Amino acid sequence: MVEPQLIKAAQAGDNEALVQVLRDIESHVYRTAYYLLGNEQDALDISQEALIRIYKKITSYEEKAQFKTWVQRIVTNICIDHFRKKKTTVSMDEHDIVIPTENNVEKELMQDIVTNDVQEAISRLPDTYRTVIVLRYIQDFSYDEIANALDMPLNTVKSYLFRARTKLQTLLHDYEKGGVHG
Amino acid sequence: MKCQEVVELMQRNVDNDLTTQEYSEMMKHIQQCSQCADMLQRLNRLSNDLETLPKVEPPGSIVDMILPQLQDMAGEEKPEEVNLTSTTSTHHKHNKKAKNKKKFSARKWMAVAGGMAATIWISIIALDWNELDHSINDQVQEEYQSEISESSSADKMHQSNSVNDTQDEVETGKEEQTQPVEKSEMPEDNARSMQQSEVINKDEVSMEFAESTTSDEQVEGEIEAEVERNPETQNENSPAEDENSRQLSQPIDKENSGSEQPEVESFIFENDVSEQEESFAPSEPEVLPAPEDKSEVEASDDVYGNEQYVVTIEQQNEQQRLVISMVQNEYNEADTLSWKDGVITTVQWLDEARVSYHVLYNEQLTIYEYNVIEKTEVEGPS
Repeated sequence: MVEPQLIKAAQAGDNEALVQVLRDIESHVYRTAYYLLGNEQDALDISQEALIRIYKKITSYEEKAQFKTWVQRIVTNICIDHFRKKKTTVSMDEHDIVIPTENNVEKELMQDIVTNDVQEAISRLPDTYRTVIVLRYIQDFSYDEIANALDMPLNTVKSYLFRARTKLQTLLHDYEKGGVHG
Repeated sequence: MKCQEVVELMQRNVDNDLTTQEYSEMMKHIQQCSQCADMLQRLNRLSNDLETLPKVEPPGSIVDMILPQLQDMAGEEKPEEVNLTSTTSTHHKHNKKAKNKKKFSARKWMAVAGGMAATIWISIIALDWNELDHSINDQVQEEYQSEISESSSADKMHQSNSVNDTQDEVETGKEEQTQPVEKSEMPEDNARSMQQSEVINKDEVSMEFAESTTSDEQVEGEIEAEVERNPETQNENSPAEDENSRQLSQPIDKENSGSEQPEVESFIFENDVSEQEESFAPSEPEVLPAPEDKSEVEASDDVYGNEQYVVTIEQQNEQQRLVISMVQNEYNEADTLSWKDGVITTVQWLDEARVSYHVLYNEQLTIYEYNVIEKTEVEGPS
């Protein structure tokens, strides 16, 4: 949690405070990017872009919004734009995201647990479903906070979240049967 | 309670969104419906798995990775301030030149005014001397005539010789000598008129100088004449002058208290057109139409916008990004269209919502149209 005083100091032009704000949020930014994009390198690139944008736009943040939802809105928007723009980079159809399986430190640490399947299932969700799941479980946001971050009506958030979990259940059930991985 | 209603309660349950009564109703149904009980179990397990997803950390500090960029940005301050600073510095440069020009021009006008005053003074003096000579001649002639008349009974030959001698002396004095002598013997009226002439001339000189340094009328007259002589020059410089006057007029007014600025501008316009063009080189406006020149696009932080959206081309890690953001936006989020290998060559707003841009990739040019409202993109017509 970033201290409000630190945010105010950053907005007032205190560069050290602003850098400290970025340090406080970088892990949150990276986690969202990582689970939305599904790989470390893209997550790093997008996190950098998001932090730079936050650095540039810090003065435009208004207290009527929570700082963490403002930050997550920026990150998720950049990620969503990244989904759209993959023509010349890699094919990132929303049902065709592949989490890299080689030379991935996080994956080596998680191989023994079921989270690999969960991550795989998350990566196969449509963008909007994946986004609400990430905000709900990775950022521990409430319905309201997700709605604010994504600029969505509350009922839409609930609807997406419920459908996303149902879809994940279906995908994980297929994994248990071995239908997806083959 | 129907199973479908219970499913929604189960979903809300994993988000801790149920009231006590709702929870009781759900559990009551679960105890009676094995299918819903299985579903609840799977849902709780999924939610538990999701909640226990590892809180991944970046391999290193991302802030440290971008710190040089942040420091660069901090050095440049905010983009708006950078623009302001550069504008101000341009203005200072221009103003310094203008001041130098003004000093040079003032000296020039001082010299011209001094020369004109001296000419007028000399001509008046010459005129006065002519008048003085005439008056002296008249006076001498009158004195001699009176002497002649008084000594009418004297020797007429002597008188005529005297008169002739005296006339000779007067003529000699007139031709050769005697300005100092005559000046010293100047009648009071003539001396007074001379002094008055000097005073008048000094006033004229000072007025002439004052006009040359502070009045716009004379300078503007010169400028108009200059402009008439060089209509092409006028055409070439007017847009630049207009552009800069739009951007710079306020700081100039603030810093120079306004009184002399028009004169400074006029002097520059009059004296050195080429230098004015250099110092008044039109700066890039913040909102631009699509450039025709590829080099303009390749420069970093190019900005193209309409009234509501601004498009910025950013270069980062060998990747070009077309960042489309709203001018007024609570969250300041933006649409980012990234191109790793392609080069964005042209950006153009087709209307208020659609922006077209060209991407050169593998020597093939593709045109895309992005709709900022619908957030959709299509390959546009070539």
